[in-house]
Amino acid sequence: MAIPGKQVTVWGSMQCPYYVQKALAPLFGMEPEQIRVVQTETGGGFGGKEEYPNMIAGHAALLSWKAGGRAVKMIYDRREDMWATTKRHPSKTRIKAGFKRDGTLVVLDIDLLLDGGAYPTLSSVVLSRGTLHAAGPYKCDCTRVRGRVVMTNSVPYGAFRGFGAPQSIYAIEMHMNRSAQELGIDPAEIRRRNFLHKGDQMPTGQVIKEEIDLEMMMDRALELSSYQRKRSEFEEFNKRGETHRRGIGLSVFFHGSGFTGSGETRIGSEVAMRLTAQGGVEVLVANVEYGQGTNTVLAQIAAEACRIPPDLVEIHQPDTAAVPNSGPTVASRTTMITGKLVERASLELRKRLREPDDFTTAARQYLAEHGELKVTVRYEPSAEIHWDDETYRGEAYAAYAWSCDVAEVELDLIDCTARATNFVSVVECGRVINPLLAACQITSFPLRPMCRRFRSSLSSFRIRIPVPIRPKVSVRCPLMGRRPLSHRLWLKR
Amino acid sequence: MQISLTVNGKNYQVTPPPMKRLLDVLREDLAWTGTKEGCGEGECGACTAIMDGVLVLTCMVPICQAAGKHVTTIEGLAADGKLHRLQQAFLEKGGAQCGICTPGMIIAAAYYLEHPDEAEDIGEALAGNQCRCTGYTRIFESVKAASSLYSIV
Ligand code: FES
Ligand code: FES
Repeated sequence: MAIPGKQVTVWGSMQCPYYVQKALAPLFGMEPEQIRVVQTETGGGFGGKEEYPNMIAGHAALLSWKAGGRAVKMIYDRREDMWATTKRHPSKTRIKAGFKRDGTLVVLDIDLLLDGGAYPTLSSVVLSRGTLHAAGPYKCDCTRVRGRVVMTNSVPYGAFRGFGAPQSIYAIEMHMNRSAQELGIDPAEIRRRNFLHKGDQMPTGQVIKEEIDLEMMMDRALELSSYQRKRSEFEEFNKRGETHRRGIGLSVFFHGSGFTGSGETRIGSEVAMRLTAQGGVEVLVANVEYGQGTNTVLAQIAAEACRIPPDLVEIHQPDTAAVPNSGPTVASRTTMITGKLVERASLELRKRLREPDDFTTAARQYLAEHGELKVTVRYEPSAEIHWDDETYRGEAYAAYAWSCDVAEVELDLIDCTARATNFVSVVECGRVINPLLAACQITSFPLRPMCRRFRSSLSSFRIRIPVPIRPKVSVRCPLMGRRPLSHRLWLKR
Repeated sequence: MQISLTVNGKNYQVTPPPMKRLLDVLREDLAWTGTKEGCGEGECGACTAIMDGVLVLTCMVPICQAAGKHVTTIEGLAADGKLHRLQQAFLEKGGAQCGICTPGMIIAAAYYLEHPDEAEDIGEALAGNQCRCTGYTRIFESVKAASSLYSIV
């Protein structure tokens, strides 16, 4: 709703309300404060609602402006959505690697190319993350990564779960497999020989300061998936030359948490908290809940730090008129950055209440005497993190998550379908705040690549939706899933 | 065109254009916003509801076909302020994330619990419902948990 010369108000499903505010201010030639953006639930995000809502909000607001301030609602139907909103960047990566005969990596030359589509969107930032993840979790003292994004005539590409990293991780992991084959070494073994350890340097010069035991993680994943046994079993099976082929493969990777390099410093997130009449607290952040558990996790952190039951914690609806800019809800930063700020704000509240044993009573008393208590805290850059955008040297990310995945697939050569028959993932995700939510995220992430590989032919013009996975994660297209059983049996014979 | 229908036990008289989708009537005219729109073209199952004992995609039902029918949406499952066992199971097992698919999933699962012979397994029962967040495994676990509860009761 846009009232000429006065105020613009936008309601919508988005990950970053303050991005929309920032984009709309110049569009209407108004001060940011005159633009109010309110996030409404629900629906997933996955990066698709990072910067694109700016566009939709802008169009809706302009229409409303034209109509003299009448409320305008904009809905994309499925086809429009596929045409207009952002997708994952397609990529092409060339890798040249030099190994010693025993499989030790000595030189790595990577050339990463992203298709940027016809509009700039977030391509440069996606490229940055892609580049920084391109060398994988391997130690190599002589690494060169060249990253480019090119303009093409396709649909816009933008943020999408992993933000450029999955593309380059896929490339380096495939390359490790091929190298293993060339050298006659087991794919797990070649990885083991090159893993990064504490004290090693990444290509940006970042030295790993935390203990990380990738060998142990991989061993656990191999054991859980019976990797060695299945590898030989499948080889036997495939030699028989029946209508099916089976395979098992693994990948090991890391993912940087939070914004790249000095991004967090540049944003300078702010979080506010205030006492409520019930003697609890209200958390004021611009980070949004879209199913990943923001509200639950922040409430847990606030409750624990204030030492009150979680139901006394309220989370304000993300609304630029009411909450400070705690940064966008992207890059796995909400729990890590905003969560820490919520903790600091909670401790600050406790300090103002003079460290009470009973927070609730003290809060009520304070409110009766003074009327209100609200504290605001701001992100403070850590002295240990340096990043140089010019030379791309320094601490690219403050923290990393590490993972080893093993997947089994079965191909049906006759009806040309693939099924994922088992999937094991061992993840080092740091300190877990909410085990159920963390497990939910981890069990859900294999779905994406599986849909992409096996089921969907998702192109911008003919749209097929990637589709339900059955228990044990098998994958079929909708029509095939409904095929009469006898037909399938016949095919198999 | 005047149409009367029952939604979650309440009677309504509405006068929408006859081809207005049942989904829109539910959400816009009657404010039962629990039913979600995902694709709007019958592919995702987010808009699933039960109409006179049959599972329907409300985005594919023109309101004229719903005249005189009884519709049950997600809001009609919880009774006496207590969650339906499926809702409880989804909550405990992490069967819901963003919540867009959840109403349709739960309605389809509820239908399956009532008519277990109509589908071979939970996978088939939920074949028309898509979820982008959970990876399905936790949805299946939730339904399984609720169905084992079901057989005891
Ligand atoms: S909205 Fe009805 S099936 Fe997708
Ligand atoms: S929970 Fe988000 S689509 Fe299923």
